Amino acid sequence: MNDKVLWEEVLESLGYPNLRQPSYSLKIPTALINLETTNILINPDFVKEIKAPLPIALKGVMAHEANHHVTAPYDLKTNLIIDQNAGEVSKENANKISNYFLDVVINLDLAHRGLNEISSVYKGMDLDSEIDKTLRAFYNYKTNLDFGFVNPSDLDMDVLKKLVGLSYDPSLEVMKEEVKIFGNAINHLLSEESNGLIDEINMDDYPVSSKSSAAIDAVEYLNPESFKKYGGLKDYYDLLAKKNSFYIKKDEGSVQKEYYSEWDVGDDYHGIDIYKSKNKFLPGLTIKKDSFSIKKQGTFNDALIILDSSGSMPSPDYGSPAITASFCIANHYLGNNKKLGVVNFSTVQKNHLLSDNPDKIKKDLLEYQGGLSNLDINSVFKDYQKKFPLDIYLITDMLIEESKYIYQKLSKSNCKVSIFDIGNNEAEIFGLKKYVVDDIQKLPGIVVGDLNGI
Amino acid sequence: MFARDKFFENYEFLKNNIYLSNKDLEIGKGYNSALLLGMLAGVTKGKILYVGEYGLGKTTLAESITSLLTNTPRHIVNINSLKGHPELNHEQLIGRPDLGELNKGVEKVIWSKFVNSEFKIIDEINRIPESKQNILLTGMQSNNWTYLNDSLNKPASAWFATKNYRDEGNNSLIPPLLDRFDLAVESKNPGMNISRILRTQEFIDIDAKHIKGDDYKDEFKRFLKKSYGLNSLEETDKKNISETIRKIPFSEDANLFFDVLISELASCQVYGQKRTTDTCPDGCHYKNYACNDINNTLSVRTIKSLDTYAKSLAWVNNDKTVNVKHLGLIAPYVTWHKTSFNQDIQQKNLNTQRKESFQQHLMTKTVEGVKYRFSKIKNHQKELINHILNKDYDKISGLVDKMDHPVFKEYLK
Repeated sequence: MNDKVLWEEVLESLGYPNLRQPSYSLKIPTALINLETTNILINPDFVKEIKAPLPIALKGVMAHEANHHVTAPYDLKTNLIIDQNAGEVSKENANKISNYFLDVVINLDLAHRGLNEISSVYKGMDLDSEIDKTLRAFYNYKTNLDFGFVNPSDLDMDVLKKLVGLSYDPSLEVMKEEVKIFGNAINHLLSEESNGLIDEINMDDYPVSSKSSAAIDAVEYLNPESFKKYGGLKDYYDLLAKKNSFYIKKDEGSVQKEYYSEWDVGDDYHGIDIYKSKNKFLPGLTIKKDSFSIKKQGTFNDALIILDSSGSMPSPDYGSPAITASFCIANHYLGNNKKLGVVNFSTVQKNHLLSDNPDKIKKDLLEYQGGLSNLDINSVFKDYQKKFPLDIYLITDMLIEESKYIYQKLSKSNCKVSIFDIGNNEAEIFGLKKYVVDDIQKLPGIVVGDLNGI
Repeated sequence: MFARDKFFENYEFLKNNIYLSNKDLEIGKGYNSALLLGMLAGVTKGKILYVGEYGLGKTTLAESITSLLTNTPRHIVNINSLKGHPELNHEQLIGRPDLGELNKGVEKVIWSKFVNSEFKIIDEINRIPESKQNILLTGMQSNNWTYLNDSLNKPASAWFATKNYRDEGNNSLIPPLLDRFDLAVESKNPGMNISRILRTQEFIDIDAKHIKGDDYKDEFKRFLKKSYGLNSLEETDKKNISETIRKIPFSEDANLFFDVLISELASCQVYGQKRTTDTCPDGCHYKNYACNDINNTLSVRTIKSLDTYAKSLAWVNNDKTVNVKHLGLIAPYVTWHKTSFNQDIQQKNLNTQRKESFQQHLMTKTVEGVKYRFSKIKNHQKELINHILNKDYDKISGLVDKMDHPVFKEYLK
């Protein structure tokens, strides 16, 4: 049986994924799949060293690599997210935890599909570290296949119980949570050099451009700290804002207006209306239809974001939905050629005047003070009143006593005001539009809804 | 020479001399999707929409394929094709009254060249405003054209249309028009390596401007043979290929995959079927299936197109049956342009690395997901079908209760 036939069998069992047949190379230690190109490389010596019939060992290794593409992690983005979550257990062992976890997910999937050769691969490998023994026993229990004998007295049954309790569902939402539980269970077994991996997926092996693309794609799953390796805070919130405000439309479209006029010699005759022309085809008598387009205009003003950056609001360094929401507002107005001012208030209030410079505006929004909540609404009126009417967005978790006067004052301006009140201070709103935000994570969605007029 | 050989000879001729392009579709060997699917649409009298940036060969490709497949010099193809623009009306598109006759009180229609032509090319179709696109719908569907009180029925013909990406001067295409296209393919930038060749290679001319009049077919065939040694496809060759394609059966697995594809893309277990007017309920039990990512359903036309072009790919690779791979490969090309994805899935994939257009990428990923789930449930599908054939009702209900996938619920409808 040749490797082409084995590969076809693997493809059929995995539902014909778009993968090329693996190539062979002596330059790699075992086997690997490049998650970007989906090329699979196998070291033939590694396969020969597995104590199992060659076709079985080869098919098992092929299926394992292919299933990294089909099931988990599938792409660099997913791998990055799994790595980050594994890092919450142990920064030092993040990569190992992630690799062991992904292997469990795909090996169980292979067994479920009847690609049982994977058990022979493990059985035929020299595995003797604590983690290897534990995982062999785990596989034996979960699959009813023989992944190699393990003496029960060598095992920590508590670890096994924890591992057995997970679902190993390959959906991202499940994997990103389960990898932490898995990591907590096995972390103490990883102190020694362990070798029970057929391959190793390591983000360090990929070019920076690929990792950046993966980070950009995964941004909503990453915290600012993980993202910092690939870009700055402004990029982080810009990407989040773009993901949130994908549907804010810039242009309001156009309407086609039609009108009738007299046809003349030299005019295009295709628009002639033969009925209105009473069947006459003569200059001055014949009527033709013409049309022109009118651009509909948007109906919003320049804008002012009044952003609370006091200590009770989350810091941009640790992920702030208020900043994401502010970036959504900023992108919306800047994208429609409007100007934007920023009032950043905490212990100190900084009134940044209207600008159309995105970098400056976003820098002003990212400036976190972490102090008290002091908003001097009179100074806002003083600095911006000449520019009224503005579309004003107030994002805050201020208490009731402070809010009442501010709302009252804003209600007397001729501005369109939207208040995003995190936690609901129940102050009288004097007819203003107020959104009560019970969960700050929902803030960007609520802001985008307001911008869209939903 | 066999029809099949002539088909690939023409494919190679276009690939090497007129539409220099990269391989982006692998079935046994690599092909260029725009060229291959265009030729397949040409011989099966299908309808294909070329999408892409301006200046990347969409019109050239449509006209060149048509020229070779209908043995028509390219300049005549060009004359007979329709150029989309905002003022397009019935009179340019379908026919116009004979004004001389009309002055005498006689209503007589002069049918347009476009309607009378044995092929249909609409260049820049999205420059036609949405409100005027419906003029095309009936003719495209039934080859029946009406103007004033007259009508004209023409034999089925291949349709090619080109569409630029959104710019200031164009419009979107209305869903029923999009749905009438069996396939949509992006005409891609040829890239650096081919650009090198483009800079130096002399282009082959199939305009054949010296050939004029109505009786041009034989002369054009002689011209192609004499100038380039190219064997032209006759009408019988195209019929032969079309008939061969039609007869290729689906394998058992491919049929089961087709079931799963329809169950995920067209059905809704909550509201009976997918409808553009319905929104998936929050926390829907079936939220992990493709039905949750899309807003509309699959039309009957789309199902027929999937069948025809999956068979066509099997024919290209000389396979005896259509397998899961053929169907999985063609499904995105048949569906992406007519699928409306919900906001969540678009946002989630906004920055994903990809080689194809955003919509096509979403569809490719969706089909990959369906294929993945199919590979896990196909044995249970076979089991259920056996139970149905044996009328073993206890086992049927036991299995349907156990299996979560919509396809199992659909089998019992």
